[in-house]
Amino acid sequence: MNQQHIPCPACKTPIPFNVYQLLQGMQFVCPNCYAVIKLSAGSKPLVEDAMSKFEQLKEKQTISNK
Amino acid sequence: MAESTLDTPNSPHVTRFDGELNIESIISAPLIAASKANAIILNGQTDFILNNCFRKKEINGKEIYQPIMVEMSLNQPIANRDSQSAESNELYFQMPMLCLLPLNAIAIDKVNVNFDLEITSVNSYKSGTNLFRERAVLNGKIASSCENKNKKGDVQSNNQSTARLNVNINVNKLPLSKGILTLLDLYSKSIQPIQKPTTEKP
Repeated sequence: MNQQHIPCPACKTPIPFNVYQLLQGMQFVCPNCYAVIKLSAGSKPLVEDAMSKFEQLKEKQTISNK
Repeated sequence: MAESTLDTPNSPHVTRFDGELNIESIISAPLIAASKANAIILNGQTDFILNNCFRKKEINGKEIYQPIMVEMSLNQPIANRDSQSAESNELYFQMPMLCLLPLNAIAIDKVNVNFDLEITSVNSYKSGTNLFRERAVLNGKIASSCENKNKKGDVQSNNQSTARLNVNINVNKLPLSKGILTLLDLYSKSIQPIQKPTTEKP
């Protein structure tokens, strides 16, 4: 899987992150300014819901390709 | 000539592969099937993006997709003047759901179709162009496995023979489409802080 990046809101350096780890509460550090980003608690259910639907879609596509 | 489909009451859905067809149809059929499969995969992904990353709104009779935003927190350490200690400054920013999801364009990128084709008849028709007077139409059938195995060249008529069409499909992750990449780029740029214009003091 390709590494995902968020541009650091403070210094624009791309911060590598993983959405599954974000959902587990992990924080990611900007390699340049050491700003720490994390998912806020209020948005967690929204992202969790989207990710579960994304997993369902991937599963459906894997089944249809077999 | 044998019929390609048997529509007898006892076996209404039995299809025999010994009927002849235009070879263009024989060759294109698996490719069309692969392209349809690709379209189904890509439609699924598009629907997912539109339903889960955007909210549909109707403004002035027009349907507008607004991105669903996810709130994130940013903790930035700020060094004090003495450089010995640091304070953390907590900020909140929003980013579109589209930028968070690990989207991949999964699609069929390689199709290998292997079969032996037996030409059964050749026809021709008058061409409308001056370049060719007549165009050839080749009709054929997928050679049955029994005929393939006969090395002596004798064609055996066997009712149990099966025509084999071997299709290998390779699904791979392709680069994201230009549209999605442009959206991601636009949204990523919008996350960056904007410098407020300094107000001149009178």
